[in-house]
Amino acid sequence: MTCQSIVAPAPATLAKGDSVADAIKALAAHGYATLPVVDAKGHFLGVFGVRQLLALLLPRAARLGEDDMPDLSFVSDTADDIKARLKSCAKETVGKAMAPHRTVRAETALVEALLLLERGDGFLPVVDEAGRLAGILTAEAVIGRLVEDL
Amino acid sequence: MHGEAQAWVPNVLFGWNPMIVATAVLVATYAVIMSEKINRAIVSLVGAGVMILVGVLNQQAAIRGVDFNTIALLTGMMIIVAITRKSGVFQFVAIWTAKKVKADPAGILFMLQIVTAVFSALLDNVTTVLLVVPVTLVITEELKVKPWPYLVALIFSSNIGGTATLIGDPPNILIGSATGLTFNQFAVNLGPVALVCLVVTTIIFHFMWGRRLHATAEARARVMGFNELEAITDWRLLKQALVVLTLVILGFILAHNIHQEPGTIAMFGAALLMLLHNLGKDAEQQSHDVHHTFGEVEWVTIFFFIGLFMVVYGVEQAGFLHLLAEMLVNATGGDLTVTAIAILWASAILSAVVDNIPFVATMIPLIKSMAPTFGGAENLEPLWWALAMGACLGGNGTLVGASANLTVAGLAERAGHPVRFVPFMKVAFGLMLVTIAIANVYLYLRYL
Repeated sequence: MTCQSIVAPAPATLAKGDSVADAIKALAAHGYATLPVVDAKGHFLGVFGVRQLLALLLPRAARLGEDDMPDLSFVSDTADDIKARLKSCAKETVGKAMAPHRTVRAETALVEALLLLERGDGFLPVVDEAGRLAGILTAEAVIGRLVEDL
Repeated sequence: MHGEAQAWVPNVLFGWNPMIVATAVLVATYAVIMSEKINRAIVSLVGAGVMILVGVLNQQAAIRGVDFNTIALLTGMMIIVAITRKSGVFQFVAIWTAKKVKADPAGILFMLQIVTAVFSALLDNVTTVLLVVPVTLVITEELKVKPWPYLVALIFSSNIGGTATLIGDPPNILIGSATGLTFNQFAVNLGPVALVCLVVTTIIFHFMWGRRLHATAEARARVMGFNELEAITDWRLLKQALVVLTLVILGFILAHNIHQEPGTIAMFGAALLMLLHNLGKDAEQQSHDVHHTFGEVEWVTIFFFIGLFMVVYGVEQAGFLHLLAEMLVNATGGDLTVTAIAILWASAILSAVVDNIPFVATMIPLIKSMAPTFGGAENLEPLWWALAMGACLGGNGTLVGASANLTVAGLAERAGHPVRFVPFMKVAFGLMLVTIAIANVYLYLRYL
């Protein structure tokens, strides 16, 4: 079985030039944890979502990853400090804050998509042969489809 | 460093001249390393393989060329640091010193240079910057000051600190292992010049950047609010690691008296720390931890060294380095002063633009073969110090001059603060020449 019948249209897309503030509003409005970022011709560029938002709330050194910045327990930032950090990057563009993300095709085997969803953040952009966004797969949608006959 | 056995006589394919073939392999190996198109460990291992396959060396001769004392010292220290860093002690020290100067940006710039230099003297430079740069980036972000001055200063202090000891920088490890010069001899001979260079560069950085760095009272309060004790994640491990590190350093200091090589001391220290760290754990957990610890050893560096030793040994056996040494002695008129100063400046300039490890690995047998010209191996000491100072301090000249520089640049880039080649060189090259001038005066006054 392929992903074809489970692919859902993307609820919304973001553009590289959108501000982080607008992206946060879009995430909240559509109730999604992650949204795809596309160019004017619809080519998939990356994703912006809760994980990228969390990165913006942390000191930049956190981007070094677990090996080089294993913990930040010594930092005593207050909630106001953290809010101030987010506010300072609210006008940054999505293009700067987005992350690359692996994609699947509609013809990809469903079991492969399940594996990628299990290993990733439960969200997969679906692209056509030209790299244009054709839809999305979410863990919820896939599981919902699979359990509906139980 | 290559053992005394000389049983192998080069027997090159098609009867080609071994010296020409070996030199061609060396030049090709270095050219590909410098191009940075292919990982340097792959290049050096391919070069070593070619040396054997064409008959310049056979396998036994190639293995004789590997300096296992250097390999054991590097690997042992990498294991010790991989375990120790998990305790959070290095972050603790960086934060503690930042708070000691009341989170003043200029004071932190100064203190981080001192901390980095001391760590670099006792550990490998790359490891030191891996430990200090992340916490520096957190501090500068909280202070809302640009990290650039701190990153440049950390590069300088790591290379200068590394100059001071036998274990501080790979060129010194190579020189120490090849010559038998002890940890104490390195500390006594290179410590003073490293200290002067550190003082001079901290003063220059203060006038260039430090005095203009300002942070608001609010930002400073945030750093003062850091809890350095929270950085310590494992107190038991911290105590074990500090005991073992102290024993290993003591071992280096007493190596001559206890008739042990630094490689044995470092590797035994690593084994001891792994033993302590795994006591009381079940077999599965031990297996997982040991696997993880070995995974943190920089195998790229280790295999780069192994291949390089073989390539250089091939060239040495084929007689090319002896010929090169004769040419160098002729060019300097056999004068020790001229030779030492030439080695210092040539090492510095070359180390600024190419990897200093292959350069030093080649220079060692070359300098050794000058012994008859200067009346014996014991008279070569000024040349070894010239090579060590030139290669270690020269690494500051450009971003590609030392592995630590590239590590800082890589970390900074990932955190969104790129350090570019040209802006770095504009500041660093001149300052590197200042440190080499200091080294030149020191060399002349003390040894020549």
